[in-house]
Amino acid sequence: MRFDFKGMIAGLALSTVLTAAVAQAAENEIVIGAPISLTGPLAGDGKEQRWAYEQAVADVNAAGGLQVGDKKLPVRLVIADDESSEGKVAAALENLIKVQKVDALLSTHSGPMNVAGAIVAEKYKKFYMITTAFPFEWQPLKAKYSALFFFHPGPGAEVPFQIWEKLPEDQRPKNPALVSEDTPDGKGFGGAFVGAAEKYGYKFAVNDPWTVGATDYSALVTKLKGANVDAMLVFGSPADTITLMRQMKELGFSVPYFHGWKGTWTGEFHDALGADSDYILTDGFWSSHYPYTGSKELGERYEKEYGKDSVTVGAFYANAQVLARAIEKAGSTDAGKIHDAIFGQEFKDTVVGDLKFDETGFALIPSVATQWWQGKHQLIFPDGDWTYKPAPAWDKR
Amino acid sequence: MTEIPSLQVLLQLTVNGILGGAMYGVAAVGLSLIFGTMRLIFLAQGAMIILAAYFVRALFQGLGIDPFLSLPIVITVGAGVGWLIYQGLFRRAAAMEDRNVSLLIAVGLMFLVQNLMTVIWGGNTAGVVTSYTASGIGAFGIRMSFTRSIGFLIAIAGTALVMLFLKKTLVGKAVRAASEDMTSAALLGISPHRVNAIAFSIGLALAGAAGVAVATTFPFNPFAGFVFSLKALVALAIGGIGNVAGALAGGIILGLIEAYVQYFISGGWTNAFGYGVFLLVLMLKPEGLFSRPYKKA
Repeated sequence: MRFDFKGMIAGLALSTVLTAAVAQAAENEIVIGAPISLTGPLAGDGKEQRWAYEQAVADVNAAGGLQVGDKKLPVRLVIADDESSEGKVAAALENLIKVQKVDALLSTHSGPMNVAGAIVAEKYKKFYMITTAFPFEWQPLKAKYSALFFFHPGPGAEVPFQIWEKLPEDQRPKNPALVSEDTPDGKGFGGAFVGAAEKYGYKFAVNDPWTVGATDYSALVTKLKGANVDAMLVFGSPADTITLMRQMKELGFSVPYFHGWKGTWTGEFHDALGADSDYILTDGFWSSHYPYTGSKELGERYEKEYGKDSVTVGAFYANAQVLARAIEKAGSTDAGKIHDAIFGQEFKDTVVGDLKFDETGFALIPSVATQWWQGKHQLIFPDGDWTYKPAPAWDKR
Repeated sequence: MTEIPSLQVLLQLTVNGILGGAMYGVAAVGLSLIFGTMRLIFLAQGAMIILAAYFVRALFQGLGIDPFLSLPIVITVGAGVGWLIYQGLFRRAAAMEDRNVSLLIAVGLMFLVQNLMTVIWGGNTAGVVTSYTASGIGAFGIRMSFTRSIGFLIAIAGTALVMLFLKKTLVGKAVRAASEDMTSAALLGISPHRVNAIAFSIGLALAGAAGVAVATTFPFNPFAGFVFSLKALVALAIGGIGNVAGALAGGIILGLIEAYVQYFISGGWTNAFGYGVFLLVLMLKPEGLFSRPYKKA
């Protein structure tokens, strides 16, 4: 093999120029990385998340960038596809940290994926700002270089009962049922619902787990019908919940109160059911009906672009807001300094309201309840301006 | 455990189970044919069903063709795709003694199709909403899903046509001969590649038919097909690997098991019972409930 001295010199020169360019870029901008599910089963959620992060970064840059020390630096967002896979989050983060040389990170979504991300952030000492993971999943890590805001399953599971308490006596369910998917999340949430039901003096007439991805829930519907169920709390994926709803209609069974978690808030739920999605209550992390600065405008911006509303983009936007403000407060992208700027600190007036982080780096937000009405989410809880409408029988809609 | 239900509820559960199981059955029939000639568990069958469902949706949304009326188009395209897939992907591997290569190709194809669908249509749950979506029909106090009822008829008609083809046509007899003993069939002048390609064509035509049933009945996403592949595999084992009518019957039995378990025990137990029966059948009657010890297509 011949030794190509000229080639080696040229390679070294190119590498020196590139390194200098990266260093120059690093001094002149802040690079934020985000693993997002661009492909795979969670790509629909990932699309909303990407949009929200891009909006937040664009807004920061429109305001002149982030004040870091005596400089105002523009922010650049770099995204890596985590393929909706827990196993791929680590690879996406390593790519962002080692190849893209990001300064700090915004989270992907869902508990297990964010836990995987937090572990990598801890290893490389890069700050990872998280939303959409339950605290019981993330807190055992005792992470120094990540912080989280989200809701607890416990208070989240109390939401329907708090809504029922405010209803006139004759509209309160007598025979509620709990249908929760047969997964760790479903079991965790299911247990929280059972505890909340006991606390508020209710007993489930049917409490049945359902299988993820099954194509037939007609036997479950037959069972619910036989038990004269008048309210359903349902934890399941969009596809499964749509199948369940369709089968309920096919079999002529409806309940006045149907409240879904995980599967009912997405636009695809409404797209697949059309007018049949009216009256359905759904969870969410945010509402454009919130009175906080920028909430309404963000909702309008999303609606203008996609022709539908969202109950998630605000949470992701707020995630970027917190990280941006923390970098300014820290005057640095150093993970330790960002930690100090977030842990035990309060962030006022984000698009999800005030966020008060405790000493573990966790801040609580309320679980939202909205009711689908003509393709829009109408806010019921907390402090919604919409009056709950009980669903009539299918043939009376 | 639920109390003993009325006769009407039992009938309702039985109807539910039959209609739900027929969906597995039609997927299993395609799997059965391909296995019969190639000894290959075509794990991409579910992904192909979902691909067909997206095609049905595109025809409906783009050209306004009613999903059920698109059946001839989807079946024809499915058959063509099946032929091409065999010739392009499996032809060389089929000549190899090691079946694992074909299995790996099937797995690779499944992932490729899943991810291509995600890139093209996104990962969101999709669906076809027609005037008859989620409508039911009732008789004698029993309610039935309209689209599942049509899906059931498609499954019965598809299986009957495949059986007629296999028993009454010369090409069909060649496919059967090849599935009994490929070496002897080849010595008699039957081209292995031709019968394999025909089996793939029919298998994917049936995936097309199943895709129509899926598109009209379920919401779907690019990854929803794997469940169909798994259930079809269970149906195949219950009914008899390589037995076309048995595959449909296996699907219906699986549907009935799921319906009864969901009602009498709990929804969380349906898969456990389904796969439990699958293992039991393989242990006690490995040739399947409806097959003689020497399998026939």
